[in-house]
Formats: sequence, structure tokens, C-alpha cells
Amino acid sequence: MSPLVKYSLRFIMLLLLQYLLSSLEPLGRFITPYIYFIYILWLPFTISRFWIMVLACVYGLGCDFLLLTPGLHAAACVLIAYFRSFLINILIPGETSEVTYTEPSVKSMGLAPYSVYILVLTFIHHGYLVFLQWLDVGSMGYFLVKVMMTTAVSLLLITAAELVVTRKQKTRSSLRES
Amino acid sequence: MRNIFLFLRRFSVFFTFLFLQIICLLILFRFNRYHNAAGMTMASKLTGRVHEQFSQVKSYFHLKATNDSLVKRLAEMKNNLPENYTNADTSLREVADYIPLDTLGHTKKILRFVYRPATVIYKSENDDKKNYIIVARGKNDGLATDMAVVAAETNAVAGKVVYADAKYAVIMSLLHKRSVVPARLKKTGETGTITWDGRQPNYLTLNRIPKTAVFVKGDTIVTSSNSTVFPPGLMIGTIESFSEEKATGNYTIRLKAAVDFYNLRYVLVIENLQQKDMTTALKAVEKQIDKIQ
Repeated sequence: MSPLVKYSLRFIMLLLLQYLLSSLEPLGRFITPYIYFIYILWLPFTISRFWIMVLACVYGLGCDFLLLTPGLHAAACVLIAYFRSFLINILIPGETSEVTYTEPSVKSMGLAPYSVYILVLTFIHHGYLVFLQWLDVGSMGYFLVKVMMTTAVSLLLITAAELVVTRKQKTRSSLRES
Repeated sequence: MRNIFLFLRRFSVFFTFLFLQIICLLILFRFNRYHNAAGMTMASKLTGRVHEQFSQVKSYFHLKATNDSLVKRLAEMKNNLPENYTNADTSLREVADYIPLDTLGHTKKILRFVYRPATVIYKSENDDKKNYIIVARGKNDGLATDMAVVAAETNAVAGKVVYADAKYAVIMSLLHKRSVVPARLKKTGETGTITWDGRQPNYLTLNRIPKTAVFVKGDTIVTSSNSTVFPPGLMIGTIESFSEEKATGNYTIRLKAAVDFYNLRYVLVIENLQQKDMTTALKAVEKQIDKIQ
């Protein structure tokens, strides 16, 4: 399967999955589980920062189209797309992984840096999303609790996704199907 | 120009980010009902605050004009007070067609006191002998010597006019060695004279109160009616302490002036319209008495 087809399929599948999750009753009344943004986190290293942001914007708008919230998820996606490259530069010094592996994963980055990468970006995404939803921090405690709880649920979902989806990728030269 | 392009190129990623963020937020605020309303609320709050601040600053510039107009209005109101008028005492006049009522049916009244506002432009209060106040009103505005002066805010006696130029008038403050104001205790009516001992501004002395007078600390002292300058009943001050004079057996009362001489900015100058008649009458009487003796 060519990378283009692979990422396109992932694009559609994740959006549909998010649509399904969002249509469920929110957990504990106010926690909506989010998984769709993993698409941006899993984009290959090789795409330039400019195109990652454009892709994130389009992807977020697609999500908004399904969830009927124009611009909300797109803004959060563009934000994490912008921070993604900074984090990768900090977490993987040198270009070793980027040369050998195609996209961020436990294998390509190591467990600890990959966990930090996922955790920080998830937190930023949810924080920004909740802030834009409310347009007000309100009581800081409530805001933080909501962001942290949503982050925790998302991390659970991402762990599950990591276990279920086997992203067999060795090197950039020998791409395999996932 | 080249530098601008270099700059844009260097931070191209950041600018792309900003551009996309702005597009997303525009979409967010344009197409979501809640965000649209919230955005409008925020914008109107912001402009409202700006307007509020602006009007506050603007009102600050108008403070002086507002103050002037208020003092002017105060003087107008003072001129309408009933105690400035006396009843026309016409019972003994043999005029056939005199009507003691005015056109509105009220008893005819004669204006006795006229208040005129004035702004203090110079004052002293720390000299231990002579303290003067100068106001920016003079003969052109109707001021003349021997007119009473009260503070505009408290309507308490501040001094009397001793010299009037065309544009300026000099007021002898109560804090002057030669200032003498006839006064009385408001409650019981014993009269005495107010002087200043030169020791402390804002504190005056009331002499010659007979030993029979009953008063307590805090009682009010007002002007008495044996003066052609001061309207009777004007506030002077309150009793602070008192002592007995051994030689005469009179009380000497130390009182706190109701006027704050340190913060005197606006005064009202009071003209007694009957002053001239009163003084000529008094002088005529003196002459007559002298002749008899």
C-alpha cells in the first residue's frame, strides 16, 4: 500500500472513529474522549512544517465538518502541528531517527521520549480546545480538572490504539503496510 | 524591503501558523452561534470600557468649569435664602395708597444681604500676626471694604474685606491680630468678641463671656447681631476648651474655627445693603448723645 493511500485511509478512519466517540454520551457528563488528533502525531517526519500545518488545518476542518463546530478543532490541530516539530527536535537530538524511521512511534523515538511527546501534545490540544469551547477559563480548578481528565481518557485511547494498530515500519527505504 | 522579505522568510513557519490560526478562529467566531455572541459581548465590553475611560479623562478637564459653575449657583441660591430679607416695617408710614403686598400676594420683603462668589488667589495662614486672603474680584464686581467673607463650602466666617481694588480685593482673615468679630453662643445667646492670639491657625479665642453662661465643649459659636458687617447667625466655630479669667471673672473660650484656612479655595463675599444707613444712623446718634453730655 502506498503511503498516500495509507495516510488517506487513516484520515478517513480516524475521523469516522472520532465521530462515533463524540456521538456517545460524554463520560461523567463532561469528558468527551478524543482520539482523532493522533493522525497529526503520527504524520511522517519527512513532511515539511508548513505542509504539516496545512494538513492539520484541513484535517481539523474535516473533523469540524462532522462534529458541526466550524473552526474549533482546526485551531487546536494547527496549534499542535506547530508545536510538534519543536518537540521532536527537543526529544530526538540529531537526525538519527528521522533518517531511519518514517514516523514517530515507540520504536523510532524510544518509550520515554515518545510518551512525553504524546502527553505534552495531548495536553496542549485539550487545553486549547476547552479554552476555545468555553472562551473563559472560569474557575481555574474546574478548567484544569476538565483538561486533565480529558487528557487521561485520550491517553488511554491512544495506548489502546498503539496496541491495536501495528505500525510496522522499519526504515524509510523499506515501507510496509500497517 | 529586502530585510522585510528576509525576515518573513526566516519566520515563515511562524507566520504560516499565525495565518492558519487566524483563519480557524475567524471561522470559529463567524459560524458558531455561541462564539459569535461571546465575541460580540467581549468586543462591546472592550469598547464600553474605552469609552468609559475616555469620558472620565474628559470630565477631568472640565472639573474647573464645573466647580466654577457650582460656586456661582451656590451664591445664587444663597441670595434666595429667607434670612437675607427683612420684613418691610411700614406700619407707621402714612402713605395713603401703599400696598404692603407684592404682586404675588406675599408680604413685601426687602433684600438685606447679597452673596457674591470669589476665587481665592492668595492666602496666608502661618504668619503669627497678619494673615490676608486675596480674591480675584474687586470693585468692578461689586466688592467693597467692610463686607463679610464666608467659605463657600461651609458658609462659615473667614474674615472681612479691608481693601478693594478694581479687580482684586484683600480680605483680613480671622487669623489677624486686629480682627474682631462680635459673636454669641448659639444656645444661650451670651455675646463676646472673637480674636486671634497668633499661636495656632484654625484656633480662635472668644473673650468676655460672662461667668453666668452655661455651655459645654463642642457648643457652636455664631456671629451676633451687633455688627453692620456680618449677618447674624453665621457659623464661626465650636468650643474646644475654656478657662476662667481671675481678674474679670469672665470666661475665655478657645474655639476651633469652622473654616479650614489651609484649604480655602472658594469664598462668598456678603454685602449688607443696609450697612450705610445703619452706620449713618449710629453716627448721628453718637453726635446727638455727645451734644447732650
